[in-house]
Amino acid sequence: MEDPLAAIRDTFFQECEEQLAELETGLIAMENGTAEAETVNAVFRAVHSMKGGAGIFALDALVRFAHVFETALDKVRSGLLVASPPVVAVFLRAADILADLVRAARDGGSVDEARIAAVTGEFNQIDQAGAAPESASTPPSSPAPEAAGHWEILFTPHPALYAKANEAALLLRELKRLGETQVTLDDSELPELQELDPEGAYLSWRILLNSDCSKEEIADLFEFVEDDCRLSITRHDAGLEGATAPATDESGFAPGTVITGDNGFCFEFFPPSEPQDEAPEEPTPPAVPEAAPPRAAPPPPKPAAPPEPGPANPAVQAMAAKAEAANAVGATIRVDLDRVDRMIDLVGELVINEAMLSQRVLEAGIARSSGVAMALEELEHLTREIQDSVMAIRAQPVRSVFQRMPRLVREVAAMTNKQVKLVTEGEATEVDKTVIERIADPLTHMTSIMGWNPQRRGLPPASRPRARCG
Amino acid sequence: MSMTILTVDDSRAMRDMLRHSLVAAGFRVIQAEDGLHGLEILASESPDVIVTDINMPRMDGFGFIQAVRQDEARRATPVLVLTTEVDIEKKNRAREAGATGWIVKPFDPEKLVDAIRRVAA
Repeated sequence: MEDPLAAIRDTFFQECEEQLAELETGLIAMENGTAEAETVNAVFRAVHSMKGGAGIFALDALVRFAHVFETALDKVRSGLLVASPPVVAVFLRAADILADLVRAARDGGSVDEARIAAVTGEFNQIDQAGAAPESASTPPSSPAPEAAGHWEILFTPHPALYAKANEAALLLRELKRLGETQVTLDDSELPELQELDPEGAYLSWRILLNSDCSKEEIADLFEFVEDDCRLSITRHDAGLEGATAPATDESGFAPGTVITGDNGFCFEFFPPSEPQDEAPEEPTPPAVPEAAPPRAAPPPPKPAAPPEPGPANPAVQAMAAKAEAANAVGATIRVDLDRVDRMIDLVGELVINEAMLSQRVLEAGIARSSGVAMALEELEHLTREIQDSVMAIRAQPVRSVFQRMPRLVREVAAMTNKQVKLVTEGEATEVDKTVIERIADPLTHMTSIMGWNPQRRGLPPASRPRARCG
Repeated sequence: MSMTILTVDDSRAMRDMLRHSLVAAGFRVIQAEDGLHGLEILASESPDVIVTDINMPRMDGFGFIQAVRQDEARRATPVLVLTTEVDIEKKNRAREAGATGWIVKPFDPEKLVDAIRRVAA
């Protein structure tokens, strides 16, 4: 039986290839000045999605680089960075590195650290030089100081924390550097001496910290022990004088609770927000109808009986109807290629058997107007239709071959110091998957050779290789 | 009766991983590819908890949560955001839209299940 995690990993790498193609297409559009706002969003999502998936499989190098890349793209998306030609050039180089990191993660191997460092350095430079005018004078962002109030920190070390030679008292001392503290020891879990495990962990602390520092600054202190403790950081509006026992939500979480644990897991439970009459700014498309009621108040306690499935709110129904229509256009399923090939083989057998049967009927001298002959003719017609339909399953747009070309052309252009514009036409033409697989390498080779030595191939220097299909 | 969880994420790998983790915990899992698809599913399903990504095509997580909260029948349904985002502004935006909690990817399956059980309690 197939390992489900291995299958998910395969899916991740398939998605990466699709996202890399989308990334490159979007960046080329940005380079050509034909990008729309959604193009930038799609480019961002491609990198973001690769980062998220890579995190599942602990592909740390990929996560790190995607994070740097994503941060720069997010600045373009939010107008803090201008996507000038030099900036897009860096993005394209970053896309190449991202592609190499994906393939190294999938196939084994590594990517030259110097290349990664160079492009990371370029990101830092464009962050300074390419900043949008309105943000040029903006000082580097830092965590905003919290309003007046205090932090409540619940800290419960696990045995592993002590086993790794960490000391709870040192962490408490570090917290004190952030502001005035009130520390309460909880020794209620401490067993009798004869039952005490010398390597166990039985103590917890509740620390009230009077500071306007950010939650991140507190969490940073626990960075090296976050996997080995239970940590909760909660902000209270009152000063230390007004500190009380923690109030917990009915779900069991104190509002604002942050729980950290293994693998960098972090969960934050939001306190119910105040009711607001105004709709949130920048409603995300598709916009809800104006007639819709004001935004919901904070969720009330969960009703005893769950809502019955059935007709929902009209606004939701309207959006769902749009979604259904949109989905109907692009509905696809993924099928294992072996299953498709097995079906094609069987249809091939069916065609042969149908031909043999026709021959037998002919040899038997059965009249063409007989019921048997007419039924056979219908069978032949259906068999051909099935064969055409099945063959169409393997047909794919030739676009995927052309998607490999921009990077190649860019590299050759850079190495030969030529200006090259790649034009592709007919990418939607569908051909059998085998053709796509076999045409890719020769086309890549031809493009590369023409780029290096156009005169030898009979092309004048000013000519450009022109990819065309259909 | 097992709880039903609606997961909304545009990544197939992430959806598969969520299904793998949540089904193993005994949940029934319904999956949507983006916010609009999630709303379409909500027209006929009543999940006990919704787990949604933020960055998605067509309708992102913010828009999805807002739309869910506009539906009277869904006001109490816990909605957990599962994202790689750590930006405080985005976290606040999700909170204002009506999210119940914020979980940072990569997720620990056991802790995700624990969080789901606790917000559904």
